[in-house]
Amino acid sequence: MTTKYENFSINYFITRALFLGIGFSLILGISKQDSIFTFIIGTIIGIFFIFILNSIEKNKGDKSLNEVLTDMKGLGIFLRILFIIYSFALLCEGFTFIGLFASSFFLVKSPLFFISLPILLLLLRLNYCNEKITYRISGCLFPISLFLTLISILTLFGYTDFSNIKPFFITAPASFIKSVFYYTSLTITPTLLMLITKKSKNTFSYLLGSLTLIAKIILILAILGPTLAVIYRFPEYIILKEIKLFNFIEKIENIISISRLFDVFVYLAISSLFLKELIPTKKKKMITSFTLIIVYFISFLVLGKYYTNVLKIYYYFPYFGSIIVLITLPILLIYTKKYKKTN
Amino acid sequence: MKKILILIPIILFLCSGCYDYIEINDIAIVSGISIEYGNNEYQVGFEILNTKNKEDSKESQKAYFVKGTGTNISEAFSSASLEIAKAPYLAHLKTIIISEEIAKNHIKDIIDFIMRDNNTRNIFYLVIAKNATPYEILSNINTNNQVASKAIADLIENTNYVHNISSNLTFENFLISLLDPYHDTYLASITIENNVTKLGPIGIFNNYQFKDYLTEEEASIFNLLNNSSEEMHLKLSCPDDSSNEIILSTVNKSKTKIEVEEKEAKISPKVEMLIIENHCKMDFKNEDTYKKIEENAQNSLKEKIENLIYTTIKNDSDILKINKMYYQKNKKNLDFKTIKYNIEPKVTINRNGQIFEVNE
Repeated sequence: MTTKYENFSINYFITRALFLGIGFSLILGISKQDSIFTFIIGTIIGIFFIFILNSIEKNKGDKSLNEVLTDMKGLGIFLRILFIIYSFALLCEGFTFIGLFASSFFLVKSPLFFISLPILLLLLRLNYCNEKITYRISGCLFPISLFLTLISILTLFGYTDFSNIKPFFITAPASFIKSVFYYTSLTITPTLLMLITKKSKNTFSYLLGSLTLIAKIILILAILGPTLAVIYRFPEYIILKEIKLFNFIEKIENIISISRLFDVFVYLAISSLFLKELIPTKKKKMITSFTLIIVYFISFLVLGKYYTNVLKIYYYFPYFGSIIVLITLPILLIYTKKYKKTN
Repeated sequence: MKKILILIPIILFLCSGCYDYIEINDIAIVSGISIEYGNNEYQVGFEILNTKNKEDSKESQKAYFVKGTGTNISEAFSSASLEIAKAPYLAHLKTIIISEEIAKNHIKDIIDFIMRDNNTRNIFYLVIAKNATPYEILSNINTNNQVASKAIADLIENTNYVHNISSNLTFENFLISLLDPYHDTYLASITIENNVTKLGPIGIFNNYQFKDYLTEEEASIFNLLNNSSEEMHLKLSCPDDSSNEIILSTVNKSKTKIEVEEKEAKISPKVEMLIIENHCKMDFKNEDTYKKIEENAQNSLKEKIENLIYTTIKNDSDILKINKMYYQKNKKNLDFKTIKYNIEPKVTINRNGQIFEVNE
């Protein structure tokens, strides 16, 4: 059983996780300075899905996701397969993009295989621990992440030039809708992981995560301007290079960007817990460990090693995520409502 | 316990990021770069900070220089690196000096190469070498100026307080304005006079192409209109005696408002000025004296702004962001060369120094 605080911290991290390497760059490329409105409208639409998620959480009560899916019989097997594919995809995405991020800025010469190895070892260790440990780690990382995010937002504010952003509403309606779809998909897809928690209320944590994302997009646009922001692969990291504390402390972008690594770490840890929850045998720990190792090798040998494959994840992951969300959430909502009525 | 003992060496050897570890003595900390183009080749020069202890090294120079050539920029960079047998590290870059030829025809290639490097931070300065090669400027050091790139960065950073003829646009701000299709950009220039490195006038661009330099007077007026001028001097003839002069200086940063309509742009700078030198024989206790000087200053400023606008139109370089302002307001394109400019400067003398006037 997780505490309210731990639930809050987990959802805060996973809301932001897909914005390392995908979110900002993908959305900026489509809606440029209108990305600010994309993020705001996307958050409002996202809350609708969060309400559905909260409702499912409330309806299923103390039942675990595994128990709910077992009760659903045939449909449950279908959903279980979908969720296993989903968690597999999230793990692949997480390992690939954390490797790409680290190899782009910090560990340029390190072989890709070793870059995410510490995270894999931690995940394997966590897999054999009680799940409470993962939740507690998330709870511990939350204040640090929030502090680093606040530091970056406050220090970067001095480098902004809001005349860079205008004029607004220049994006074609179709492109704008597409970018809103991307935002909603990228923030909501990982929040499905919250189904493994019990009775969690995710609205405020989602809003806080989104608020930090909105602040970041405003800073990116006001510092780099839309024309420069769209050409960077990791604009969220590039703006951190500006930070100069008291005019002599420079190059602190590596320290501040740790908060983004926390996002991905918690997201990977919860994804592996989610996978463990869905495996219906007694040897679930062993199977999860084995899956984590396979995912690691896939993300290194098949995905991360070839940039063309990274680009496929970059462009198609929002579609994949939205399909999973749109199939699973309504089915679970209807079933859990019926279950609540009958009990 | 056994598991932990096995895990510790594995983690230490495999997960510590040692692959990217480089000793500081194996890094060439590049502080300045010169890039020029000639004979179908790029010529690159590095100013590298000397990291050896003074006791270890007989030379007491703070920096040393290497050169390289290549048919493309990466080849020229590699060629320069061969001389030092160290990895060039660009994170502490202060200045890049480019030749006029690079500014005219190869600026896109340069920015593409620099932006791709994962170590560079876009807070350095990009400058054009005027009347000298970039390498000559980069290697022009003396006892007062032992690291040329740092000295150039200092000159640019303090330009607003001194002559105000240059611009302190960082590489990032240069990129923002270069990539923006709705206005043109500009760069500071550097020159050598009597073996001394000095700031040159501002170089203006049309899209990705360097066009010409502004004169010192135009550059100073441009900074005034850009609201980045800390101190600007204005030399005027005395209102009732054109053979003598009075010199005014701005007190605070100017506040210029530019409003762009479909057929007209209204430029109205508001400048507060101080008398810093007087050769006029006038009664400075009389209110009318100040009114006459203010009127003279306004006319002079108007004429100078008109000259600047003429230069920007002649070079098709919208450095005043007229097109951008119109686009931001109306989301329509405008040709800044075809509109009428209505210039209405407002000069106020709010100080006259410590005295009224010196009587003969």
